[in-house]
Amino acid sequence: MTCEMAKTQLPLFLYGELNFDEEEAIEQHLETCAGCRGELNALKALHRLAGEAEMDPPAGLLESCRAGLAGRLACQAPARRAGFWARFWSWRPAAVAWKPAGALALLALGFFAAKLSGPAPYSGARVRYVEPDLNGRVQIGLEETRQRVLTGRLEEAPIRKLLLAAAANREDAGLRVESIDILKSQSASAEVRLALLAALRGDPDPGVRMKALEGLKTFVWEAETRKALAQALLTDDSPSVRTMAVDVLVQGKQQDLVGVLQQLLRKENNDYIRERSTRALREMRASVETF
Amino acid sequence: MDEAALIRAAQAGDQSAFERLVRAYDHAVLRLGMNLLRSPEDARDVYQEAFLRVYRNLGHFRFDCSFQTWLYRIVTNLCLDQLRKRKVRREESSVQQTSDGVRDRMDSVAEERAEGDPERRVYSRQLKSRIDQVLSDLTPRERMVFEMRHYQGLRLRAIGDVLGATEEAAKNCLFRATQKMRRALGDFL
Repeated sequence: MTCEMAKTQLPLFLYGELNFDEEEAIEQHLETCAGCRGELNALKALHRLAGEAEMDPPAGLLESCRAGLAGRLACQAPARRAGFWARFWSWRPAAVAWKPAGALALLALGFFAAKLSGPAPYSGARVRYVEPDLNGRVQIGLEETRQRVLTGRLEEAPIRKLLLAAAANREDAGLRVESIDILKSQSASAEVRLALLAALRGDPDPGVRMKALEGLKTFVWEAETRKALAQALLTDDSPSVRTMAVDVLVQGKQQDLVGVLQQLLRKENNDYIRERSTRALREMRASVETF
Repeated sequence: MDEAALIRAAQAGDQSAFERLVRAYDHAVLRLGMNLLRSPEDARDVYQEAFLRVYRNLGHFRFDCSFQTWLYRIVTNLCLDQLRKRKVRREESSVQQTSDGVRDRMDSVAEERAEGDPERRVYSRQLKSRIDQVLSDLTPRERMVFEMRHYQGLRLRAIGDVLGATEEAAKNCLFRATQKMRRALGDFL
């Protein structure tokens, strides 16, 4: 192989885009050619610099995009569906506008109550007895549950208790997303953190797990949180959850991460996650593979 | 529910399935838009327009390619349009006039990443500015391939699929992009 040929293949070699034979040829050439080894090192430095210049979306941009999308989808949808986007999406504008108010924000549980009971006139009612009358009609005895609206601060025990209960409501994924989204600003509280860890580990809905992960970001140094994040990275079936987990975990570059990333690389199919893990291992001067 | 089932449910009008589909990809879409356009405002526009198009056209999705390829095709087409418009209008300046004078919209992003260390902040700003410059000098197609390979970790074959090109063409684009960046960033290497 000539140096000219090697130089055209080095960028592809670094990205792992050459086949086995081509890689072999390049490696043989590199063993004997200092010039091309220098070129390879320069390209590695370029990779590192380009990696440093990678732009993460500024904080809040994703939420604001989601809110804007929900608004535009509501305009698109037929009238009977328009309310869905405003009501169901966890990133509806109201939820976003609420966030900056933080601990001072007031929480209305009326929304949850409305969701639990559903829109049909008797959907919240329980039939206690049925009885035909003599005129061919039917008498039905209903037991109706009255809705209550509670308003309070997140720090107040009854409000937090209800939110924690709503976050564990197995019937309604939308409700769990809403609840975890609200609770995640309170992750300094141990009971909230436990709820976030439980959601990340076991919630069947990836949207809920994403919200829980967002809430746990700032506790990445805590052993239990790192364990849950590593578990999510290795076992979660949602690429978005694994992507966020790897992004959060690699920030710290703690040594306990090396084994996790090496294990991950043995089975991970997602290109982004593989790339991020490989880069983190290289930055930690750890080998990419285990032998 | 696996992705194919989610897509079918969304095609049948199940909005919560559509929502889950969006959530599965929207972080990556925003990151791609942000890195390609290097402007939060433009990235937001592309994000919203892309998912609106997905919403309107999902019924026509026939599983001929992966959903990710289909979605990225939409996103990259929108980004290519933006980049071409910028080239035409010389709209590359992300500079805005503020009460403190002229300021680059992306400086705030770079500063956040420099974590307060003054030396590192200066270095980071110089590097960012040089990389912005060299990226804007790439052709839209070279830039697209570099961004998708380097930042999104897509394989060249998948990038070819997204751009409607061959793997070989994607390889050539990546090679040209790398060479241009190598030359322009020589003193940083």
